[in-house]
Amino acid sequence: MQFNIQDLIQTMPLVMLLVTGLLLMLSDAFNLRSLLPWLAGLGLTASLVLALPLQPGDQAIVPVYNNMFLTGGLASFVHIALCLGALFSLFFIQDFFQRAGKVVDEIYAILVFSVIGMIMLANSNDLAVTFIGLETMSICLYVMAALLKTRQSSNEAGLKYFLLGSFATGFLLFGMSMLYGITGTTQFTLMSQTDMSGNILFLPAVLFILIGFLFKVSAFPFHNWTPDVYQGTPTPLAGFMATASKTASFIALGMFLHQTMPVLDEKIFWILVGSAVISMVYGNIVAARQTNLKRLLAYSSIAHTGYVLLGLASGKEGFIAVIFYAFIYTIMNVGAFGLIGMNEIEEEDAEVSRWNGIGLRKPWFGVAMSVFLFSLAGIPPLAGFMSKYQVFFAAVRSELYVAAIIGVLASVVGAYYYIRVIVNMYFTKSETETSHALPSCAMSPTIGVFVLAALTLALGIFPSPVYTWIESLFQGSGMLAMAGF
Amino acid sequence: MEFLQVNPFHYLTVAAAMFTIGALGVLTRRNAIVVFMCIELMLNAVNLSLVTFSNMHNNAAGSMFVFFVMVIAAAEAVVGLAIIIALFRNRQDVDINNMNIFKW
Repeated sequence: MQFNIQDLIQTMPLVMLLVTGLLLMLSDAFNLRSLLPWLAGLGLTASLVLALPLQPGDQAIVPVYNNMFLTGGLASFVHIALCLGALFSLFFIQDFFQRAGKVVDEIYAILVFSVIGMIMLANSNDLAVTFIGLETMSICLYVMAALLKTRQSSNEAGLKYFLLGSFATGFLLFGMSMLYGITGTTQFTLMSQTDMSGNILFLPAVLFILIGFLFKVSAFPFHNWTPDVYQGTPTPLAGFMATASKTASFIALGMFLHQTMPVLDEKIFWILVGSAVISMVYGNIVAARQTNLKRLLAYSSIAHTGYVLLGLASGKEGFIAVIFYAFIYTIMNVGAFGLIGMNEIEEEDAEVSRWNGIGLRKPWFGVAMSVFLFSLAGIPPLAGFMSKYQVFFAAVRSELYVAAIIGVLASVVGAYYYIRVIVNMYFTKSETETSHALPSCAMSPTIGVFVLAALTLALGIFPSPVYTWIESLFQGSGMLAMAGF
Repeated sequence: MEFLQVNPFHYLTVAAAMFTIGALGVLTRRNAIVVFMCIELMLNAVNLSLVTFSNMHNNAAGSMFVFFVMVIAAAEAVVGLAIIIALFRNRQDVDINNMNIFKW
């Protein structure tokens, strides 16, 4: 155990984020309020640039700090994807809070700290780091949910998320302690060297850990908090919560399963598949009868969780597809939530009926929302189609035929409620004439929507640069190759 | 007097019992603060089992883990109680049965 300066250099992107977060808190004290979003954006961009793999040797994963944390290769890609998620959300935050009449300066520091937690969670190679990352992320998310503290809906969302989230964390932690009891180590790669499957504690341990993770990604039996929390959370932050935190949890779950178990235990495999199938069916069916757009997207996110879990159960190709899916999902869902936020001042403004006829009143607004919704429904040539295709393709390759067929059918049901919103936007006359200036036409959210819609379209037509990048990272990563990949 | 000797098994039983009491408390109690206390009980049960395992395996990883769990439990308490206070200011009540703004 010794401190190595090389490790610090390797984790520079993370240190950069930490410095940014601290500076954001300080500048709050020095009354530099107008600069806060710019500073947060600058810090996130700088960290992202530092993580870019510029030298050819950067393709491999490098474990640092006594194998506790991973950098380089796949870990860098995850870092970049999570920073991008936060950057995209940043476009919408300031405008939203100004219109809601509550300027909360701390949000930028909280956002950056939650990104640090997510990166630690996704790139950890040690139970302790996983736990610290998960909690750093979750505590920031609890604050985000309860941020509009004079609104009862926000209070309720915060409390529900907090109580249920820490309950799930308790289970996760108990599972981790059992796993430590079996193997005598907290490191994933060392665990894989012990044969755990014969131990009586093995199944409860992994089950408890799965409870914690499935809660965080809102998969089937642990999904109930999702619609309530997303509805009460300030909308752009709900978008961030629905995408970046799920991306991090999915990657952490995948890394944990693949690194600790050379061969995935059969019972655990079926639990994953079962949860995936039920999430897909349940999410899509219940979403069809929602009248609030935020709740609708929350149920749709349960369905998307199902697709991603199916990918997680399909081996190495599935994991590549999962990472690709999470990246695409971040882009389209942050955009969709951002647009809902732009058309909202009071909490009840997210009703679907408020969107009647908006496609004719504000053409660009309708077009952008249609792009995101079509993409979420998985209609070509948008990015959502490519990501869904990859996941189902991987599932078929690993002979999960029935699950893949159910998934495709469920996503057909899903197309119904996305397209219903589009029908409302173009073919239904607005009954109540809205006089106030909605949707918002502020500069930064408009640019954000434009960028995200363009990316959704571009990645649907040319998905291969990102996809082959992820694929090449898997070929280069020696650590993953060692652990059964 | 063999059965009076305390061995790791006893500690683990106590930990499991504490965890169960905590989990049942979360599911049955209706006051947000009591629910939160039950969650803390669950975390402390985990601490006990981690320390026991650490002692069994004769390595420090588990004991180190406990420090992080305690620090994070404290951070969680700060945020959790702040949320409960914000809620209390708005509705003078922290009964989780009355939290029903959202319904599907």
